[in-house]
Amino acid sequence: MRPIRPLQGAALCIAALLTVPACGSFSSSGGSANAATSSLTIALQFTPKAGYALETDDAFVLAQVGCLETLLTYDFDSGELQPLLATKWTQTSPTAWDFTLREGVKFQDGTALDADGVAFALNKLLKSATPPRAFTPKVVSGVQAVDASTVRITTPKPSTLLPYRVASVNTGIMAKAAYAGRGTDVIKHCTGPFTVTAQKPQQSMSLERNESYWGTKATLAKAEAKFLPDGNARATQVRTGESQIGLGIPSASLEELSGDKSIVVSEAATPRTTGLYLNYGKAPFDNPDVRKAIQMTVDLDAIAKTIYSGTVEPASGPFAANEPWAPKGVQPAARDVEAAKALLQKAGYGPDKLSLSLRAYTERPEMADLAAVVQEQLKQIGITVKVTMTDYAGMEPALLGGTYDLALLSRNHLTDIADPIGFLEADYTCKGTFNISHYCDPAFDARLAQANSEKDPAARYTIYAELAKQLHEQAITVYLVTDKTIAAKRAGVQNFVDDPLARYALTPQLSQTD
Amino acid sequence: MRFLVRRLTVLVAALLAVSFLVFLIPYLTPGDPTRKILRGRVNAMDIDPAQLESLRAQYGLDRPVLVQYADWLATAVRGDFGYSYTSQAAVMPQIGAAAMVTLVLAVGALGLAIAVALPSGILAAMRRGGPVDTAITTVTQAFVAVPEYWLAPLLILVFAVKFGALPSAGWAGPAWMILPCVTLALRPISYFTQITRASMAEVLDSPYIVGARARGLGYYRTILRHGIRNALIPVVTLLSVWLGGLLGGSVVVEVIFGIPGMGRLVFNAVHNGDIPMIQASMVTIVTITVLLATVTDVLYTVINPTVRGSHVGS
Repeated sequence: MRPIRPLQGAALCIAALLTVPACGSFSSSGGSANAATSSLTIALQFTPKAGYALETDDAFVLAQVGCLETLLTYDFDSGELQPLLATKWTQTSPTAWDFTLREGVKFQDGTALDADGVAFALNKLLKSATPPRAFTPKVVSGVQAVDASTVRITTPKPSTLLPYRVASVNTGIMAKAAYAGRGTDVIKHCTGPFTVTAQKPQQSMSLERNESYWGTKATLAKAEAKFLPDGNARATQVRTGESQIGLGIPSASLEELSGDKSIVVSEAATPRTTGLYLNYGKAPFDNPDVRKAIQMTVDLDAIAKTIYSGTVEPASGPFAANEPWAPKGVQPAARDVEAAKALLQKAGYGPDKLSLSLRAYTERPEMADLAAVVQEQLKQIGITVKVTMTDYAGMEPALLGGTYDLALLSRNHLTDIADPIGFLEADYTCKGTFNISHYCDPAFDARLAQANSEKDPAARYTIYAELAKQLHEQAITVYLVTDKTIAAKRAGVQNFVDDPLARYALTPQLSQTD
Repeated sequence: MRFLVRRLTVLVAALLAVSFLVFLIPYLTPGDPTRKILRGRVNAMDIDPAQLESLRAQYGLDRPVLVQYADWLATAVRGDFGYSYTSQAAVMPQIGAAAMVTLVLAVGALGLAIAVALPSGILAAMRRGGPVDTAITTVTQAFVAVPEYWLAPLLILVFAVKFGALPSAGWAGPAWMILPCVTLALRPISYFTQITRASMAEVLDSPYIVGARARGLGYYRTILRHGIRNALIPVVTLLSVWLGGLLGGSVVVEVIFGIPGMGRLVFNAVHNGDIPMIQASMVTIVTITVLLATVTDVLYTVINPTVRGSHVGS
């Protein structure tokens, strides 16, 4: 790309202002709707910011563009683990799992994938300054090569969930050469269907089909991934055809996109729930009647329809109804203002006797509106609410220190692995590292510990469902809405799947016609 | 020489003051700085306490703030600004790349502003009180009220979505800079036009212009030879102020247009508690600002040598 010099820039601006055509067609260098069908441009939501360190969220970008692959992968629809770079996994002892590597896999630099390389990559991750939560020394002791094609991962305690840990994108495997310098060299060091050939920090990444890919070769010959942090900018890119796919489209852009017949909008449930967190550790929230009264007052339907333009579902607990660990038959809390008033009265809080603070954060644009709606609705049962908006860092000390009343929070419950145990442990056990509800029920903890040692996923999910139902019915948190992710694509794009866990976007099957 | 020594002293004093104040930002704003750093890398709310302590120790954030600042200063004076807490990469190359993008954007926007504002301001002054003056003054004054977050999407809607004439976002070549340049230029156009008009009007009323005209020099020649040169001095001052401001980056414009400039870099660094990046960015911005002020003073003498004694020599 030709660099732009300052004086040249000035001249260009002036010249351009005078010569901008009245109409025409602009096409980006990375591919456009009119370009050959073998290339495509995608506008991504996340911008890599940590030098592609795999312990960070940059790993998600590498996986989304079809570069990074893990030993196993988690199928969100079936709820089961699937083979990827490993074809077989066996628990050889309570604290050890053996993974058999797929034969014939090569990194894009031509080196072969073997147990020694996998052990090197995973140990590097494990010993990093900030290992990902899925793969910390607390849950993994070490990784060894047993033979050329077998990797053994040991755990400090018996673990049935270890295979889920190596399905986390943070545990992606790259060639040894990728780790040679400071940061991670992503050029030609993955095993995936696409090879990163160039990258411009904070801007974009160029990719080509990996001709020596072990699986089905990609249909697309080339692709470009643009990093655009602004959701409206991503939506506009799809409208103009500068990008053929846009991820993380804001609900505010839905109306304009839906009116364009050349664009297809898709929605997928994500493991994220927005909730009104109550400080259980202090009065009046230690009183179940107060909690229930608040739960019965907030109008979930109205919130979903107005603030989110109908792109979310009213929540019936911490999990979305379609998740395998969601309790069956549980409905969102029914609104009943009069019953709520009666409950408050019973708890000793007559009209206008309760004054509470509500904390919300500015990073999510909908929070200000949400806070205003909650404030207005709680007024209907005589609760006065004072709203304080800060950035998340500003409200965190109050949340962790238990010095708040109410807080709005959007939480992803598959934070580390494709299993909600990490979320339930962190948020609702007595010693949870993110127990901002300050909820403590030894019976809850004991049941979760049972789930942790349960080998059968179905039995484990039953326990999660039971605990989720308990949290909802006791109104420990007033769950508001379960989020959806929205993607937009040009009509010519074929076989695009919007992954709810934001792991995959450029896949071998993805194609484009004019 | 005395002038340069004084400017250098100002630069050093400003750098020390700003770097110390900026160093305090992560500690004065609510929240644990180490949590911000860790969240900048893992983007998680629930943070492992063991990781937190490990990171705190690794970066020496458990030491008194003054000790941390002294350490930073000791390495910074050797030209070593360290590595970003977020990206783990050296900060200066990242700042260099972002600053270059912002410089291009700023020079482009101000070049456009001057190209529009100077003729408009001069014309308005020459036609004082007439309909042309009224039109120019009204329109350019209205520009002040147009916020960037409104204008940028409007320009995108018209030129990228409606006409498909320009790209909507990114930074991949000359075409990508047009809409952001226009967005950033609008307000300077307003201020430059008004200051040019006022300055030119004052010059046109001055005795030496009246004298030049009395000596038989033509109207336009008088303006070209004597008027513009003198009228430019306040414009140059304003230009240097705007250039200094724009070189700090515009977060709004850079986010809307997906531009990898200083605005986004500094915003993200503050958000992530990336102290080395914040410090090095501020040092860069302050240095450029003081250098610009120096260049502006020198420019005064080039535009009008008669001011040499009053500005440079003082």
